[in-house]
Amino acid sequence: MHRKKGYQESFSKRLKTDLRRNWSLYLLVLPVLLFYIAFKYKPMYGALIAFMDYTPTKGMANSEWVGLKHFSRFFSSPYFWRLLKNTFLLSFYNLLFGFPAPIILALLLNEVKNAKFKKFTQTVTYLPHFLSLVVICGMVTDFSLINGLFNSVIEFFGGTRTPLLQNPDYYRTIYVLSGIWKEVGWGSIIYLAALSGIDTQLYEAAKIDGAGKWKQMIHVTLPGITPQIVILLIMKIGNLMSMGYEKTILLYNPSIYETADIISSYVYRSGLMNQEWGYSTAIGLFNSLVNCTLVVAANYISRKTTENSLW
Amino acid sequence: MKKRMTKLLSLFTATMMVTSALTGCGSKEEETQTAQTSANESSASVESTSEAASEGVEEFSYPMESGHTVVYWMELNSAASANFLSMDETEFGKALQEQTGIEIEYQHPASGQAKEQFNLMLADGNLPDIIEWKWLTDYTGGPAKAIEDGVVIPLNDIIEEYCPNLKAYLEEHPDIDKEIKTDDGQYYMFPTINGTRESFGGYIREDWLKELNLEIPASMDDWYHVLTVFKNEKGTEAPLSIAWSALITNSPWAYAYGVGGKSFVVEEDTVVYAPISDGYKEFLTTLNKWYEEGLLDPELATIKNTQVTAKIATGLSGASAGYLASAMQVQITAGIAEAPEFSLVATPVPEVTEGVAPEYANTTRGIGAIGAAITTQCEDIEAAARLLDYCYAGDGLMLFNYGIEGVSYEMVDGNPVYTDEIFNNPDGLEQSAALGKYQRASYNGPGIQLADRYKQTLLYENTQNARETWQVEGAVDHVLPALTLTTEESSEYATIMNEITTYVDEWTLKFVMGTESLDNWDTYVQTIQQFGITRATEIQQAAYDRYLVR
Amino acid sequence: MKIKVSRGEKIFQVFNYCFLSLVALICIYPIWHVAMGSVSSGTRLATETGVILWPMDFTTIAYEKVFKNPLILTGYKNTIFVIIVSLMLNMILTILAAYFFSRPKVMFKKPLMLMVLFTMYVDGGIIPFYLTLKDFHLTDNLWGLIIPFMISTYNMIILRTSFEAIPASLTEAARIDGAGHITILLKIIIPLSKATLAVIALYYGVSTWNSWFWGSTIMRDKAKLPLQSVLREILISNDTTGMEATGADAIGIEISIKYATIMVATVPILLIYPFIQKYFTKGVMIGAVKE
Repeated sequence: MHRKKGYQESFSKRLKTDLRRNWSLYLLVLPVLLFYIAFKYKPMYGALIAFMDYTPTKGMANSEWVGLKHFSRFFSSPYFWRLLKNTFLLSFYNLLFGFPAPIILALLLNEVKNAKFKKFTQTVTYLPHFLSLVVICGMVTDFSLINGLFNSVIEFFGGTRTPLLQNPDYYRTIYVLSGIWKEVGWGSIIYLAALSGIDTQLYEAAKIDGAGKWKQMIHVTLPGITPQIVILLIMKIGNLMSMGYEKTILLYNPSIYETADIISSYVYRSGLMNQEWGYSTAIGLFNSLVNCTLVVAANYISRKTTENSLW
Repeated sequence: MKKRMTKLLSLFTATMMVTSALTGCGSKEEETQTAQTSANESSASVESTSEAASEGVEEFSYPMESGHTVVYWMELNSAASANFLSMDETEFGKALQEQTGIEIEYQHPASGQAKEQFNLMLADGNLPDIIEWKWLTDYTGGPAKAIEDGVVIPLNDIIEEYCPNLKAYLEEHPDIDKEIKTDDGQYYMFPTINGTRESFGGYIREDWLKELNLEIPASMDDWYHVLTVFKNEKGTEAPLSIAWSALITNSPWAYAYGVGGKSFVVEEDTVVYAPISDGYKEFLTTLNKWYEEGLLDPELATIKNTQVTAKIATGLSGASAGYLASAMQVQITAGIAEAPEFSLVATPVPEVTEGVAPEYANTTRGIGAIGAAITTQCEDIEAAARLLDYCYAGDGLMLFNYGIEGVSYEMVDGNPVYTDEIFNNPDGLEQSAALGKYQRASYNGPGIQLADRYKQTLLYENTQNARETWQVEGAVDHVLPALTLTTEESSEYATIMNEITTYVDEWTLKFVMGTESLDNWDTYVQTIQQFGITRATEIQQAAYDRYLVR
Repeated sequence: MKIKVSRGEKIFQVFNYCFLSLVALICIYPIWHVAMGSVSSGTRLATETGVILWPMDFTTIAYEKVFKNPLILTGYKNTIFVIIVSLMLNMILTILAAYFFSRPKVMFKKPLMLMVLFTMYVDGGIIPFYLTLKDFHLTDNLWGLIIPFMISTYNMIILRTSFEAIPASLTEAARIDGAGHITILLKIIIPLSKATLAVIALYYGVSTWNSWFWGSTIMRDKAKLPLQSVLREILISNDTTGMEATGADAIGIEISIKYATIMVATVPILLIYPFIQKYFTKGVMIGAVKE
């Protein structure tokens, strides 16, 4: 695991040095490791359900092993590609627009001179995060009706009123924008914290060098929060396939299935979620596998181009 | 299994022997107890003992002697949970225990978490004595599997020995009898027997009809005419407003074409998949016409029930279809608040061809989805059985439907009538909560729901009469009964059907809204066949044939 | 020396204020809608859709229904207990973990990191997790809401990033002065990471406050339910739309109750947030050590 250095050190020698230097560290992290073993690894055997015909009454010991049966069933669904595409695209657009939004908001907020305004706006923007999805989606569906708010705005700008959620082409926009609405404020908190951690002396130095606002942003601010941006980006890429069904179920209807139906909503409709454990676990594992691959790739690229990476 | 039968028989024989030595209901408590805990005794055949039982030798009557407890797991319905943390706290729960003499330890899963908690309970292995659950739909593999897995016990002997009320009812109603048996003939649950079977139907603005000199529409042509008049005279942009799934699946117009339920129907003992039938094509053709002419709500696909209520109440729509209480009645109340002359009247399932009466209607097979089963870990089986049998006749039936005499109902001219405790509850409880305090028939439970009870709770003459309007003679024969599929079948079936249902839903809307022309009907049918509808129909047919011979 | 404010900068400021005001308006609307709806009559809520600007037929019935539920008091109590204890454990363990993974030249760091990251992608599911809790006697017990959730890998990584950003020169200087790992952690790393620590604490706190699922799942005794589980019970039990809601029932009341439960759950957070905000506004001088 270590690259060969100019001179070779034996494993036991390195081990000794490491323990001497870091024994207190290992001690400190021991409770952490115990936690992961007890509550993450111990229940992990449940993932094997993906390869079994499991029922709760029988338990895992008595359930039959079926290998890749659930997976092949999933892959051979005629809707597999559409579901994959929709899941991926919605996630991707979410990332494309939804990832920069909190950063931009944080940067803009950072520029506000009036402390009261800044505090007020900052507090207000995170409020939608606390409203349940049911409420937000209820509002979105109401506003998308022919007589709804969104259509009023559209009409104001010269468009015609249409039932927005009956048009498959509009769905991705509605999905992503409503997500930004809900999360942009909350998401900006971490960046605001990071921004406040930038050494003010760096700004001073830049100003003395004659840098204007824009240059300061490029050379001081952004580099200052780059580690957070990169790490968060990698982790979000690692969640690409994990789209929950709740929001989709609340917004969609069959007239827009072609862009709205995703893997989790499809599985939900089959009613299998609570009945066929093996099948839904298998799909979960498949999602995890894709996520894992994406994370590994993102991590690799990031390690090569920036100095930040997850590992 | 055999061991259990023998044990039950010995129990029963012992009880018989004890009670036959007594006169009347005096109980020698200790003797009964020891008799019950005695070891296996081989005894005479089932028939002779049950014959003896029906001769009334045991002379059982409620309440049972003290000392019987059962652990009872059930989801606490919102009628009760709004004000009580446990059935124990409701007057019904208390009265039930008092009248049967059986102490009940209720266990309720957290609201909305019933499925998770049920499955965790199974995984855990610690079962209560009685479980109320939707055994057909929410247990993997169905009730036969539940028995096979060792979760619940078959009830045949138990009903025979301890449940005279249910037994008598089943003998008089062989159709219900079939519903609660597995294909092998094993009874698996104590059902909720429906009081009425029609609760969903169409309705229309009565005051508008009067104003515009129109009759209540009775045929599809009438409907076309009336909706067009509504559109032109009343300026409504959505004369008929209804959520798409209600329109396609439950509405009287769907049933008019024989395709209600959007799934399998029964035509003379053959199972048919409605969405590929000619009737479905005609149905969609009509809907498409209505849609293009602006008679249907343009937001058909997105609109939800709350929005339909809003439109009906404020006069933006003139007709809809929905549940009697939660839609029609609610909409009348809301509408009256907006305009005092507002009124809705129920409409019958329309004729498609003049003079040809409809054959289908929105109706059920007579039992609710939830039923009570006795688990394999129940030790006091007689108590559990007696408890569950209580509400099918006599005092139990009254308690189940009306509550407590003198408190929640009075006998008027020999008929039970709810009191103001229900209608004008002094503690300010709403009607359904007041009902939840005293009885169960308003939602579900092991017992018989009486039609009269429900009628009393309806507010308006139009809703009280709606059910008669919605009935169609013989419609129930077309309804596919609850079938049990084997585990392999159900897995295969679920996969095929999810694909097909997704396709059907999408294309139905496309046909209705005109995005796809009905000229492509054949492509639609072919695709569904490719998805495997023939196989799915086969599975259903096989299960149906098994049902017929239960 | 006074630095002149350029015209470009002025325009930017105006634009910024306008834009942010618009954003604030858009973000305030949903909670306003909910607040107004929570004191509106159910009938109006059921029959009207669209923007709610003022209470419609003002009534406090939704709040009455929520607060008269005896579980509300125990709900608050339980949640407060869980949050306080959880937060302490969350912070301690997350700090330890983030510290460990942020140190250079630790031999087993990478494999252990991978071991930790792996758990973000493979999950055993609800049943095995529940059975694990049972094995540790953590079911039907408030500790069952605390101990199995002590570390969020996501939060830990954010903190690690922040720890890594502290210049190595500082820790080296301390090491030369003879400081051990623990001293470095307490005297250098933590003081310089206040902002991120505040964020993590906020994330953990809010997450614990909002969670209801495991509370509803593992508690047999309703008196042990945390607040959100209680609110969910209230919400569902008042939703009579599924059943035969007959006659004189207040229609649409479940909508106003839904709103009321959201207000009850959200207002406490709103009151706490300003106290945390101050960590985000001060700049940090890391000028302690001159290169």
